[in-house]
Amino acid sequence: MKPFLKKQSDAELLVLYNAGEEAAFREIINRYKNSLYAFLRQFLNQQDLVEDVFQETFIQLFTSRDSFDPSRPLRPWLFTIAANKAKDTLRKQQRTAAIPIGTIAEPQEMSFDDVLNAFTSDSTTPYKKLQENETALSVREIIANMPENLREILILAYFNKFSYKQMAQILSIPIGTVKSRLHTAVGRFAKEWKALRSKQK
Amino acid sequence: MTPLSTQQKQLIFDYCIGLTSEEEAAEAEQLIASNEQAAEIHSKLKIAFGPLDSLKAESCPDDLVEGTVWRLNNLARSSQLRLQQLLADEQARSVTGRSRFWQNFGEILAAAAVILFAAGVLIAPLNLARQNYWQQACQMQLKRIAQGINLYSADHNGELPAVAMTTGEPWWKVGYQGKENHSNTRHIWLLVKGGYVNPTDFVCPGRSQGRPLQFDASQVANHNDFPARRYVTYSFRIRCNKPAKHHLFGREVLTADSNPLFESLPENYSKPFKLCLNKGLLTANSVNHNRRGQNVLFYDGGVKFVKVRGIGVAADDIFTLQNTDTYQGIEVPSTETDAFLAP
Repeated sequence: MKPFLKKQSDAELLVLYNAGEEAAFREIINRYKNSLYAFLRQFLNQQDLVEDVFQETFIQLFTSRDSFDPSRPLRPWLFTIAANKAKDTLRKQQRTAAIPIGTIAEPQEMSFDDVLNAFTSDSTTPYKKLQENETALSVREIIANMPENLREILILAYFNKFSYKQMAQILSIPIGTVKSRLHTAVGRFAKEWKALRSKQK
Repeated sequence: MTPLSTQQKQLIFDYCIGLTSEEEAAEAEQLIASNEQAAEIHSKLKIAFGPLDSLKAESCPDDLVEGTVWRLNNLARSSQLRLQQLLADEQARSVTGRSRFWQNFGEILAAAAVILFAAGVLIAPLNLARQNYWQQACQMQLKRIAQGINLYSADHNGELPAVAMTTGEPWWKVGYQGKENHSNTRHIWLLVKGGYVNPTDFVCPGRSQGRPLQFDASQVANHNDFPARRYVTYSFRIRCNKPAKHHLFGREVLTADSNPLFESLPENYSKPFKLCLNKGLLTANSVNHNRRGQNVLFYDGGVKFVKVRGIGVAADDIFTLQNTDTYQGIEVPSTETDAFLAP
């Protein structure tokens, strides 16, 4: 890898790539590979789908690189592509396979107080009592079984720290909807976690 | 205790999930410290988010990155090929007309005049556009070769692809498959064998005689060199015998379009090769781009189309050796400052 590429901005890398500098695109991939991969692993939870969508995302970036606005950051744009591709992939899969009904049903919106109530009685049993690996597995399973729109917003907000404005752009929804959906996602997660903990007791 | 407003609750929520600015975070911390309800919400949220922290972000596997880059390169290459095909189709398309059109002699003359005029106006620009396209496609290929060399070097402790050659051995026998390293393309063939460069990248698109390799992977493994000269239409640098103290620098030449001196090489490897320089050979540019100039790949990976053969401050001719008028295909530069690309 040419060292000078590491100092270039994303927009400059795309300009360099268009001018024939092939290594510039590899640098873009290197910059976002881990966060994008982690996002897809959490959102799709199926290795073969993750790999397909990962590649399709960068191919889409390659084919529509001319439409990229260099005055805006690349990361949200890349995640917009990835989120759309991932949802398309899941829809295609849903047409051919039976899936848990909870993951497709439209979730009931939760108010902020509903969200707080969802955690109330769980505070006496800290999750640390479970082995770390088991915890991670359970969390992954709960997230995987959440409805698609709640799952994506939880991952974008909690694990990728996108701002409300960026999430609104990525998901093409108003900021108010982003906030209420995130409350619902957190509340849903807390409820599922509590239910799982009750079973394990 | 004053009950918290919705905005204050939202602030604590944002703080716990990590979506606050520095100022908002400070405000949230102050609120948590001063308000019991805020502290209770914060505590509950922390417990709620705790399990999520057990999910560790997984790193992207290297083979997935390599697979992605491979697909992208293929896509880029196929786009170029498609463009090339469209250009070729456009050139080959015949003009047809109805038979009635030709019945009137006056119309024939008028049509002929229009065609001649259009041809006069269009052929030169179209030809130039095609040449320019090939020139750029050739530059892309050379860049891919440079990239392949970099990858090879990274896999081999920084060493460039090389094979053992001793002084006086012929470097002109491109396509010779014997055990002896009698060709200056054998080390480059290592890039093909190792999968670092696609064999089609060694044929300049501007060279009408150039044909892409139609080999499968197993056939590539059975060869020690390119199958014949027509499968490699670039010339590669021949190093001097004492390169130990001299390392190649960024703007030194590595490869270029084929050397005009060695366009015709004997097909029978047992015959001797001899070439005497003449005025024409001393000034001719590479045949790859219709003698208009040549693409030159530099050691730093840069590629430049040059219309003259002299490179650098000293204007060193990359296609000849200093003080050498006769070539037998065994000569090497006496110093590393004398760049010589052959055959």
